[in-house]
Amino acid sequence: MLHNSKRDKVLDIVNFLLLALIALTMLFPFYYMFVVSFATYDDFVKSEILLWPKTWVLDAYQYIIGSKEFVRSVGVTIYVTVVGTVVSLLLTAMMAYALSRKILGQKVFMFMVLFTFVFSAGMIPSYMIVQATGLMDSLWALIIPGAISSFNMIVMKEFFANVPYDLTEAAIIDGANDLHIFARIILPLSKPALAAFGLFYAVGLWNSYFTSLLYLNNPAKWTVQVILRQMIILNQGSLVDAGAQAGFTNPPPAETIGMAAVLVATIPILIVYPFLQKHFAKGVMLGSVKE
Amino acid sequence: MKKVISLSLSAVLLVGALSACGSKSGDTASGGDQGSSSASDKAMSITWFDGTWSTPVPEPNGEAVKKINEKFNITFQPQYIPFDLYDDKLTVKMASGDIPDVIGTEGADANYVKWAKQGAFLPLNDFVNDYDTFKAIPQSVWDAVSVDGKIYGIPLYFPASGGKKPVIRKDWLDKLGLKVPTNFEELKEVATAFATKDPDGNGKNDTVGLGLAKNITYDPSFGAYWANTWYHQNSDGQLIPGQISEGSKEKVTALNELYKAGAIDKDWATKPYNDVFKDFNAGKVGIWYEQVGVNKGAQPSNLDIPTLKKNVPGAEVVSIPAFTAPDRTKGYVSGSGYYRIWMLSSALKKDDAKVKKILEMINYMEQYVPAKDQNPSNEYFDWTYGGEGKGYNMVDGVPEQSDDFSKYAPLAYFNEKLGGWIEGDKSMKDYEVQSKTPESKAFNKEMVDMLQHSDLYVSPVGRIHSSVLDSKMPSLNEFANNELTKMIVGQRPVSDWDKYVSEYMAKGGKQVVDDVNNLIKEASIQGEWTKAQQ
Repeated sequence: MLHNSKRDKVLDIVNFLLLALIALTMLFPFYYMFVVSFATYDDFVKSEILLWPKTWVLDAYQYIIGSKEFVRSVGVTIYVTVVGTVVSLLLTAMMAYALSRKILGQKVFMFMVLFTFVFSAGMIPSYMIVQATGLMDSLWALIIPGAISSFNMIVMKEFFANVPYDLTEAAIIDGANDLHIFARIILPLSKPALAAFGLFYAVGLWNSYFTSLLYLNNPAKWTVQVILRQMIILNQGSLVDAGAQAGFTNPPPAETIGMAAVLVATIPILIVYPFLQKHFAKGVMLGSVKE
Repeated sequence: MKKVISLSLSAVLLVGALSACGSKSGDTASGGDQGSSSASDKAMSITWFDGTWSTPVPEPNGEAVKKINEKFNITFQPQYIPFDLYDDKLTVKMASGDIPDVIGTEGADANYVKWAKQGAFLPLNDFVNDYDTFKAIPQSVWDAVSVDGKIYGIPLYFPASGGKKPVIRKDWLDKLGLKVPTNFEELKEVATAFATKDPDGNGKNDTVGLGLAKNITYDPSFGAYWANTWYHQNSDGQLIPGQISEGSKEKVTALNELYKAGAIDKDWATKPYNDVFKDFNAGKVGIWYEQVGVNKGAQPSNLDIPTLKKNVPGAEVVSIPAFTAPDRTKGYVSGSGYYRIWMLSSALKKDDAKVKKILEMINYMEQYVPAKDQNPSNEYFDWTYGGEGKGYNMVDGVPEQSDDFSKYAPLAYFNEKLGGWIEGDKSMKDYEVQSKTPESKAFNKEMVDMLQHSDLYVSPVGRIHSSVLDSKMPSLNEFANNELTKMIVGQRPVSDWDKYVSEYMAKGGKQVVDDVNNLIKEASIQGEWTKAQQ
């Protein structure tokens, strides 16, 4: 579209400035974290707000990489995120597909799913179920209880329902069974939906924090968010002792470690976004418009 | 290709199901209750759930666990959660009936009292007199961990005179020819001079006299008389909370005058306290707070004298002794005297052997080793610290915890420091020896010296459990904080004081005061002064 009139141009400029301002307010915290994570405590103390450190130091990052717990927890989180996303997507898609077809008891199952939408049992019954099923202290406790999000499942069901039934019919005539149809026709046609929901699940799993604390008894299995919180909130005394243990005569201060840890823990999941961006935008719109 | 994917996916699921079953069978095999009820020749198993500040968090299968198992002939099954997240998990665990043999908490809070009253914990009155370290626990601490006269937990020692105390820039005092303030008049004079007479000599009016952070942190009370503890009485002879006392009125009046004189940061009412630490370390604040402790006085983000000296060569920090009150008392408020409690599950009612075993362990782990004996030749110390070269290394004659301390040291599974019930607050002198930097050593020496010359006020309210207080006090404190903040910044006149007090009483303060006074009368206790040790 061409904007010829002066009014349109002014509007564009105002628009641009306004959006740039909003973008800046979003970006600034990241920039601030970035700068502080490389600063010395001296620089940090002296300035009201730090925009450019006088000396750039890697102490905070060395400290984090040197922390066995942090590195281990990132590994655990990557494992949980990858496996959990695959499991969640598969189970969600299978259930959604089944419910998108007119099968026996479809209404009953839909009602059961919708029921959990409105009423949630809460933390204590969930804990008791995890305990009773023997998932306690296993990484699967982070994956299985939340494997199917009812919201995601319902939106995906709507998506499958929009795939023309003619395709399925044609496949049946060619002798395909239900699994074939699901795996070879429905799933390949649903890549945008899978990408979008995969991202939803991955971000959720990456950020899983309270479940990790609740269901995992062994600190060796805790996810990065738990360790991260510990690194930031930890009382100073213990932190300094920990720093001294890591071989720092003067351990880097909590502020710079905190900022560095937040960055290190955010970047991996941030990297996933650009790759799924276009699907993601489409995915959010799923089910919103009916033809 | 598709087939391969779907096959591998189902394989993943299968593995998941299998591993879930695997951990289930593992859990039941090592389950705490089974262990204790089965054959007696097998080691008794003890499940232990507690919070920790240690990093890394002690793991359930560390080397130290083996040492504990051998020492006490048990199967020790500990589980630790960082304290800042601990309450969430503890609440869920208790509510779902998954109660371990031993449960730790940071203090006797409302949940502690609730669970004790519901019968979750075992009364220990019949046992505690059999152990040396427990005998030395003062009655005020036993009161704090008792509910209806029953002792439900074993407390851990913590210095009663610990906690944040005011410190002042001595070099600024010297430069302006002033002395450490001994009353609120002198405080006003000093703090105003700090803010207006350019003590740092940079020609700019950029210094703060008295450091203050939002919610009136840390309460600049300079003695029990002005503090937020239960010290004063109203006209009916009832003990009242500090927020509505004559002492607070005097304090708030002084703070209001200081604010008007520009001696307090204009933004204090929204400033987080760690920002004031930052300003102090940058050399911009005259009076602020810190407490004694290993390496205190030289910690980034806390009071950090090395950083301060880098910014201001010649900076010097000393503590401010309590002011003499109108009633001739002079001293700070005593802390609770303990930190952390261990409770035993009431399921052990019929298992005296296990109860005794647990208490024996706690008693053993709570012994104090003076700083001069903390070296490898002290067998007890060496064992609790995990052995030289493993749990700790000797550096300049002082033990330094190693990277793997929480893996090797049995102590990490019980407490971060060795106990001290028998030695009491005299053990605080050891902070000087244990600290690393010279600044920290000097800070601890000076502060401990001041504290040991100071009387301490022990409030009776810490020794009773009032459910009315527990439920109403948080909102009352918030109300008092808001109103007093308004008075300090001049939004509400201090002459409104009596009206503020009656508002406080109407918002539930009266019920709290009545309930607390009844309980104190029932227990026949009152506020006490612990006299200075020297």
